[in-house]
Amino acid sequence: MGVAVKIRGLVKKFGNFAAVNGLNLDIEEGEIFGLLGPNGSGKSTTLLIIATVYKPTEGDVEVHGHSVTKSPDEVRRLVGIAFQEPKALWVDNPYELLVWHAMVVGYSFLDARRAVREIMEELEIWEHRGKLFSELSGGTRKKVEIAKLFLQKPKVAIFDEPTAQLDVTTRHKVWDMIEALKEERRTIIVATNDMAEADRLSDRLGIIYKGNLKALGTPAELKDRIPAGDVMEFSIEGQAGEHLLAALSRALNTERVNLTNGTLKVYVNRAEEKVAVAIETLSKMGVKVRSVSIKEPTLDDVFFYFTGAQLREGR
Amino acid sequence: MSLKDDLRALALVAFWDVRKLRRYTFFLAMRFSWFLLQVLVFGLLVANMVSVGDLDYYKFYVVGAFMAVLFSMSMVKGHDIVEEFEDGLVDYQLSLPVKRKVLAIGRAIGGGISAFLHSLPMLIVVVLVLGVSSLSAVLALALASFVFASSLSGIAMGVALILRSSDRLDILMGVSDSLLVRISTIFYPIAAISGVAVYYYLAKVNPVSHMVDALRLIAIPEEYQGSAVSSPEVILMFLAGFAFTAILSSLFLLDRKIEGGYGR
Ligand SMILES: Nc1ncnc2c1ncn2[C@@H]1O[C@H](COP(=O)(O)OP(=O)(O)OP(=O)(O)O)[C@@H](O)[C@H]1O
Ligand SMILES: [Mg+2]
Repeated sequence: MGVAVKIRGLVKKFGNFAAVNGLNLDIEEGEIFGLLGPNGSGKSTTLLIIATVYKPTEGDVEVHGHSVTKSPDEVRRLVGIAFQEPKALWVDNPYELLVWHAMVVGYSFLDARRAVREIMEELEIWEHRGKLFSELSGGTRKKVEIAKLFLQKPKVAIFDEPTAQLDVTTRHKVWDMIEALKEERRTIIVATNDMAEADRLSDRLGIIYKGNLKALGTPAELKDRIPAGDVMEFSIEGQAGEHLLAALSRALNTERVNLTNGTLKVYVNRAEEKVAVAIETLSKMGVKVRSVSIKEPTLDDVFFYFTGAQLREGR
Repeated sequence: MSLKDDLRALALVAFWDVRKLRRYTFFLAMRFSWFLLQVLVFGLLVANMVSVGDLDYYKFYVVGAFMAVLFSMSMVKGHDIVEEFEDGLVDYQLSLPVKRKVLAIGRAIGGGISAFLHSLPMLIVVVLVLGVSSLSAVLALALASFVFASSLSGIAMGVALILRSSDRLDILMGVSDSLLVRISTIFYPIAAISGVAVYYYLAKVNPVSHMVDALRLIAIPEEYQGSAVSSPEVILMFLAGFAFTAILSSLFLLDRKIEGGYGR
């Protein structure tokens, strides 16, 4: 597996403002890559550069070896994007728009009609096929927008907040469909603000903030990178004093141990590896453990850590 | 990608504008009524008051009125594209797996087809009023109208994409409409304006003069031979040069300068 999208020194300025500011990133062939970041952090701008809609101010992006600055026509044959804001003429009806799209991306007229019907039925928008776009609900518009990409199946499929306006059932369906697309050996990039989506879909995640990459890794790796992000909770019986807390702190190599109302909380990395040591330490000191639970940090915690933390400290 | 794929993409892109035709019924009905009024009432009145040598001013006027319609129908394509980029549709089209050159030419042709189809009822009136009877002349008129509409639409869209603002476009369109149409041979024969040097030379180099006179040379060749802005050969060369420059510069602009992010 090689690199599908190679981003090097990417800068995009609007006037004096740098929406993307020196971004470097490799997206691997065949993976689902999640791009996370607060509003205005430059996710959409980056994706639009990959899709050749915007031109870089500095730096370059290569898609399967083709540069967006030197051979954009080649890049466009490999990349497709479902925009954050659905795109259609207000006089369009979804069916005609999708048939036109399907034909532009290579279907024959007959195949286009068949494939459009299939995808519209799958997304449960077939009944809306003849309405004007201006009459559709926000969620339905979004479904039409992502239907374009499921028809197109480009080598590199870019979804910009694919489920932002969708109901719970549809979100799960769309996630399944995106995973099915990956099974067809496509590379997938998903920008999102939704941690559940990022966690569920991404093989790897990048967190960008102010146009720069702040963190990169699998969801599990990123969670592990939060210092003492896991919490072990013990509900205990018996005597527990300062010496107990000190012993635990030493054994587990963490400063953050506290006890309130019979609940002992220990903050560590990789709690799953340390819980045995903790229980051993406790029983040596004559403390009985009634129950144990381990809480891993959520992606929310990861997101706060890599963006929120800097929001407060940075500038 | 093969030439066949490019041509297929070209046809699909051109079809984009044709698809929008149905929204214009009211607009078209208005334009058509106004055109009939011009040709059947206003034109006859003016023709009685004006005399320019042996030229039948009424016939001259009818073709001019048609060219004015074709011109403004093509300029409407500039406004259309503004609407599209405000809705993000230009961004959408820029992302499609279509070569930029194919996209540019396809949109120009699509704009041309739709401006031509919009003007077709008027063209039929012109043919009937002037009594153009040879089939080849009718076809030549249609073809020339289509080619002019395509180049004018292409330019209108290109200008709109460069200006990136509907206000600026409105101003420019207003100015160009009045200048290009007024300072041309659309309503006044070149001989009639030879007295005012600036006016005369501007009309002489105005592509719109060449377009309308090309139409007249096709529609009423015998009567018009001596009154045109230039000889038929020069007109043909001028228009070919004009189309060539227009296409080259718009392709260059689209490749190098035009990018998405409109309406933000
Ligand atoms: N065409 C444009 N012209 C001017 N500024 C722009 C343009 N596109 C984006 N920006 C600015 O660039 C910054 C990054 O925008 P972008 O849309 O990439 O953010 P995002 O990470 O996708 O945010 P969101 O989560 O809200 O979708 C924002 O401050 C935005 O206002
Ligand atoms: Mg965005």
